[in-house]
Amino acid sequence: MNALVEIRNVSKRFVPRLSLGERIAARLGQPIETRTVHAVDGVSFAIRKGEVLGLVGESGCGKSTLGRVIAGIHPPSAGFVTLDGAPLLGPDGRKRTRRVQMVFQDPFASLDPRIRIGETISEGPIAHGLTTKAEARAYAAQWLAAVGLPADAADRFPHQFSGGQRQRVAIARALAMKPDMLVCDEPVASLDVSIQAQIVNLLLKLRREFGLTMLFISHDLGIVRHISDRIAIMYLGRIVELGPTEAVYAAPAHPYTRALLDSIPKLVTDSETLVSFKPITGELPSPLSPPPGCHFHLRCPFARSECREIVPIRREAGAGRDVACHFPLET
Amino acid sequence: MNDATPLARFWQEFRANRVAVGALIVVVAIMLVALAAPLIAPQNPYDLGTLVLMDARRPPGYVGTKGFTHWLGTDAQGRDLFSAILYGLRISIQIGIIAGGIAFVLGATLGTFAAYFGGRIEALIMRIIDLQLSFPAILLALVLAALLGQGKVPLIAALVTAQYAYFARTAHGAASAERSKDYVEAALSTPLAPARVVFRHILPNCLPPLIVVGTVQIANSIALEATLSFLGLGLPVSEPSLGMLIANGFQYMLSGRYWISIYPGVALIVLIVAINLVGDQIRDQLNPRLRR
Amino acid sequence: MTALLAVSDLATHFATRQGALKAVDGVSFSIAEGEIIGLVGESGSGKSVTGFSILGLIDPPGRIVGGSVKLRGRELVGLPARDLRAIRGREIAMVFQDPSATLNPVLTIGMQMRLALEAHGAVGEADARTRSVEVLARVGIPDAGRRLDAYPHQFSGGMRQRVAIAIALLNRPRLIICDEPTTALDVSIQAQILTEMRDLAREFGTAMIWISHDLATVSSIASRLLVMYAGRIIEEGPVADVLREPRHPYTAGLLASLPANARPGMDLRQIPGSTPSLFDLPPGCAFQPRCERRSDACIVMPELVAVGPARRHRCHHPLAGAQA
Repeated sequence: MNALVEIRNVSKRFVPRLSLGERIAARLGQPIETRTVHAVDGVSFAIRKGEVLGLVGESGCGKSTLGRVIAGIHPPSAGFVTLDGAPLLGPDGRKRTRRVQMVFQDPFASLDPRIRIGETISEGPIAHGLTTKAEARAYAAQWLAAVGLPADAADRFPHQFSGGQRQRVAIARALAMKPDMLVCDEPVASLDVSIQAQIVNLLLKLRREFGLTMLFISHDLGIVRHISDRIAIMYLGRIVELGPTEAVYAAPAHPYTRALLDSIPKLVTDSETLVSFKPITGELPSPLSPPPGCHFHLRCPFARSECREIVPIRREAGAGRDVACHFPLET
Repeated sequence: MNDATPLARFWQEFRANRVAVGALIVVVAIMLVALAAPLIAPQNPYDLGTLVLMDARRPPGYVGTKGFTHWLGTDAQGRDLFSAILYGLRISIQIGIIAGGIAFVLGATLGTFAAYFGGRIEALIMRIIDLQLSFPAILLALVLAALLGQGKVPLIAALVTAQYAYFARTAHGAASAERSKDYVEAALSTPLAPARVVFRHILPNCLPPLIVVGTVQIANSIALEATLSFLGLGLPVSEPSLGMLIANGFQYMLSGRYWISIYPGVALIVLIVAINLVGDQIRDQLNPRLRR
Repeated sequence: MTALLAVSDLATHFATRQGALKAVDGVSFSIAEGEIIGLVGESGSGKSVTGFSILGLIDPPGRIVGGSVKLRGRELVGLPARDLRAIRGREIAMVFQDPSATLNPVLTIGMQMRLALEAHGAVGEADARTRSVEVLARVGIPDAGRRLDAYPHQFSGGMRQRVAIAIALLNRPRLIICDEPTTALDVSIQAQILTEMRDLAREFGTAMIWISHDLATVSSIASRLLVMYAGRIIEEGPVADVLREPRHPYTAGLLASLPANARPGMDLRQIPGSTPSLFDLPPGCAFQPRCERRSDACIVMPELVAVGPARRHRCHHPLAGAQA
């Protein structure tokens, strides 16, 4: 299978801006500590044409930042993203970033409150020549229909819709750009439980209809498992494990993956079960000062001395899987 | 779900405040009267030929030699004060709106672009604006009016320079907040051209605070214009604005001829207070923190 | 067994431009000493407003318009603000989703804990300190003695929530109302806090109302489950029983829609339609427009009927009780 999007050694650093006083002090030779946040730290992987890749991690692990780098919103600090072998940003990047669209977590924030739904959906396609002003209405109606909304929704404003309907609009807006890939950043996390299933089903349907490639970012392991072909687990800016979903869920190779899976409470349907989950010990370290070596060693029950000093390199662990751990679990 | 457009809902809420509705009626009435001044006013106060010196400084209610009643009296040149006030309001409102409008467009564009691009451009624009805000507006306008000379265009230029910074500051604050919202990121990921993102998405969402500043600043520029004219730095004597009318009557105050200064002053106060009351209500409605 | 807290026919409405919004409309339940109940529902179901109403924390335009809340037989509805304050924190404490709702950013943790203790009786500084350190250590804050002098922003999100829980525990309340206390936290931290809360409740015999939208979380901490929809309780029973054999079609639909109950890649079972607006509730059963089992009878609001010793449901056509 060929890769649609390739991410090579991508890093994204945020350097908090220094105040004027600090800058003057730095010029005068005072040692000023610059606290760089390594939101994404040397991440590489490929997304194959037509697959859904789940990206899982806790808050602050950099999954949303990585999604925005792939969608072309933020340029990476180092490394590069390619689409069909050509760099995503760069000469004629505008045409290429069009092919990667994004769906955001909060549909109350991701739709411009002052613009009618129809224009929200059609403005991008008009700017990129996918439709004309004259045909914009029909074009918008076509995509509204694809996400299960009536054509007259185009004349209304976002505040006239419920959360689930807004998320449908956000998906229609992304699809109307005829993307090859959709980056979905926690698309159901802010929706009511009874609505989540509707949106998941919609994404599954759209995937079948349009052969969409998707990066599905979420912290909800249940939904990721349901929708993804492969999953990547991220911890403090690095990918710690990547592989086919069922294989990873059945036998995680990285201690963090295992701990994460164990820590989710499961539905208890018999009164005998008292404990349905097992918490990971310790705190999530601050991304401002991640621990040296393997980022997980402070919380890892299997950590040994090398884990504290040497950053583990991702290597193969079984069919189509790889893991960044010095002492991976049996798979 | 409320199906009304945002504007219709805004009006529904506005209607609930009687004081604001009253103030709005006053503002609209004054504007209409000022606009129709040539039709209503018994005299053209700019046409020196129609002025009768014999009728100078007559008290309110005096019936002049031309046969009509000077309801508000006359000034030192024999001008009918009622007519002069109508024409004065016309000029004041005209200058206030033009100056306020130019300052609005200039300030909002500068502030929004500064917030959109960030970095050095932002730092440069905002430092200049901060510097300017540290001077009192009246001082700046005085200096400019003195430098540029009399006339409408120099006056408007002075008012715009004194006021655009307030708009820029407000626009920058609002746009910085909007800039980080998801819908802007969505527009960037589409991607749309920066000009479209700024003018179609960011700017309209910054309008609420700008409209509030706008109403206050129109009132301010009317007051500022009156002040400059009062000090003799505004419009030429042949086109008396409210400020100049007040200045003209000033020397007669103590001799009991109060009407020459007082009536233009009252007109000015009513206009400015009414605009501010409308502005207050708009601010209350647009401020999310004051909403229930 | 006497009830620690008995809520009956509680109704909390919000006066709005579009009329009265019935956020909570006739809710009745009771909690025994040391019992943990889960209150589950979607946004707008009235679960949080129920929690706030118990403590009298309803601000205008909201108002408790009817019903009663009895704490060990003592009526709380209509009690003067002063008396309510004496009960809050002392007998009933609350933990919020966002710990910054509890914590004052400009005071040290130690100071805030001391103030919380002093609010319910004079304590010496040394005593306050000892007690605070003890409770902080109990909720899993390492090096508690030193951390007393830290400010809230010096703690991570999970640690801040622990501090908020510690403050809730300070006066050994009989009941803690937890409003989505782990929703804003990461999975791994959520699991830690769940375990600790459950152990604490067991150790001190504290009763808890655990408000959440997440069935799995509730099922791992509570023993009894109340499901709310559009301001009313629609189903109640022992957690495991309700989850295994839901009677109300809404509960059944929610359970069926979970990815755990579907084959990966296949469509999830979905409940059609969207959560109703409280301004525009359908006649009768609020769930009826979305319900597969509805009939003409459903335009009349069903009563909450008891089935067996422990279960209640509000439905004209409940599921039989076989596998859902």
